[in-house]
Amino acid sequence: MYLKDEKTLLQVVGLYKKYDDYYANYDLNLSLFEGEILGLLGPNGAGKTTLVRQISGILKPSAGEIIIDGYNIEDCPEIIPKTICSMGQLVYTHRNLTVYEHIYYTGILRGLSTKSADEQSIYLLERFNILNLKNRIIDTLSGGEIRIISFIATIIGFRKLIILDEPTNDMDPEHRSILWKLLKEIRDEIQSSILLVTHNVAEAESLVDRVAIIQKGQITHLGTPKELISKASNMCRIVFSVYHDIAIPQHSIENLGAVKVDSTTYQIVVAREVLKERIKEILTSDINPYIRDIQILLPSLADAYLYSVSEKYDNGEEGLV
Amino acid sequence: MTIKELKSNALYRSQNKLKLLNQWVLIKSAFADLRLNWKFSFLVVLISPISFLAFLYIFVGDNNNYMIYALSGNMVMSMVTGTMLSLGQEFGVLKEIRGFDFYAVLPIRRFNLVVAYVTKATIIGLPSYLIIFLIGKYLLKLDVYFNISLLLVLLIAGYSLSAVGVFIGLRSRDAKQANIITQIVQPIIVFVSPVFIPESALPPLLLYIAHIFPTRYAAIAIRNALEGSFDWISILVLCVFCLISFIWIEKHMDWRIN
Repeated sequence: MYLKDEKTLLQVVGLYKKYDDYYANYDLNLSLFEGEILGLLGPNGAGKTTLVRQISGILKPSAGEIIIDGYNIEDCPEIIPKTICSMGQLVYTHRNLTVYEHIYYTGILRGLSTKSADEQSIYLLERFNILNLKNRIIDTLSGGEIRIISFIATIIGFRKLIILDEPTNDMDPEHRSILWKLLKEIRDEIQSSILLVTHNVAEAESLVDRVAIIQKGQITHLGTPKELISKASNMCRIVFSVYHDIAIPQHSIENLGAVKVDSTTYQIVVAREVLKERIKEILTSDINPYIRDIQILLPSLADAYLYSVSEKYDNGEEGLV
Repeated sequence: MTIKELKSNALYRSQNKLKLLNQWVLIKSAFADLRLNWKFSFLVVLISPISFLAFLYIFVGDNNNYMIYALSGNMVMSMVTGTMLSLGQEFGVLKEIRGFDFYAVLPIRRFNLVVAYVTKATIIGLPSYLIIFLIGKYLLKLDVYFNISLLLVLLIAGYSLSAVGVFIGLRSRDAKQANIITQIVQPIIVFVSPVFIPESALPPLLLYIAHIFPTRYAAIAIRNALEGSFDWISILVLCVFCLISFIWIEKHMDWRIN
């Protein structure tokens, strides 16, 4: 048992995961507090899934420590099933069971009484408005439905630490919205901690308490969405659209440093202090007569994320190889 | 109802009830595989031993002694190596589809999962053993008897090589590789033991090697059972193999990937 900070549920200390000739995680450090939702963002191949699979006890770390609720999982692996529930990027469901059986049995395997497993299964199916799928064999469901079932089976029993690796992939907007709402309730009402890997930065922005950005196996940015946005807040976007039947000379667009977003929309990312000058520049350029509307957009978490991952990543380790 | 109320209403089972119910749930889940393909599974366990039996009958003829070897050999191949084969493949598939990610965060023992899959393989095989026995007794007119030890051996023999199946499934890269390796291991285990061949016909080296394979004891116990006697010693040795398998699975089987 380690000396545990009362508020820290998960500590990852100097974690390394080496495959044949590269590090998927390199000297990675991270903490997750009780009752907190931590969003883990990063480009494909950054090491997010490798990290969460190590925390869930699936992958063996090459070096470093993972401490859950004060226990090092290497010395005390039984802390994992007691504390964690986890949903992987590739979801597993027992495809020949019915929807209800898979969720109910998972609740039983997590230690719930038959009555409580039944109560929670029905409640969660109702929350997602899919009680009608209760008796369907999982093998006959769509990819999105299977992901919802897998999510419900993951949270049944309500563990202290919930790990979700891209839980909303394949889900329609209605069910994504239900899932985010449910996660908020779990955090607010029972103070479970949630480690959320997602590419859906825009939707996660209103949900997460803190964000960690992982690149090349290391946490490069960590803070509240507000802090990350404020780091990137010097940048804002000028978005303008032109009439669709007008061909804008390419050299005019290039001269302004604009980037084409779609057939009629262009965007320029600028620092705040030069915003006025750039607007003036656009309005006095030869494309002014073609502009239909123009907007100034302040940065979102998605912008802060894009800004963070576009920063040159140089820690002196040549590609961490 | 709120999440808070749902959680505070939740009741948890005692540890002893937990173990039993977990095992039952895992066995039921394993059997659910039969929902969609029970006909196919049944055909697989039936056609292979019956066709092999017919093949041996054509070559060996109605020599009672040799046909008892053919009969018992078929049963051993199905229950011991067939179970190992099925376990290796099931675990290979589980690894490939990230099934262990699901089970690793549940408070269940690895041993429970193995018992569930072996029980499924054993029970699926029972009709085929019965049909083989009936064909031998009534169609081929062999001088064989049903002895309770036959049922005992059929039930425990599948567990004796479970550790090998688990090892192959866990160490293989994917289901395809697990399938190939189990197909290679199966004939080795069958043909180095007196399963289809009498011990007297085995080369001296194989005769010694055979002692470390449970297939030898399963074959001897089944032959004795078919001849009407209860072979306690072979059954006891099979139990020791089961015990070794279970201990290895519990102590050394790691779901984690390096």
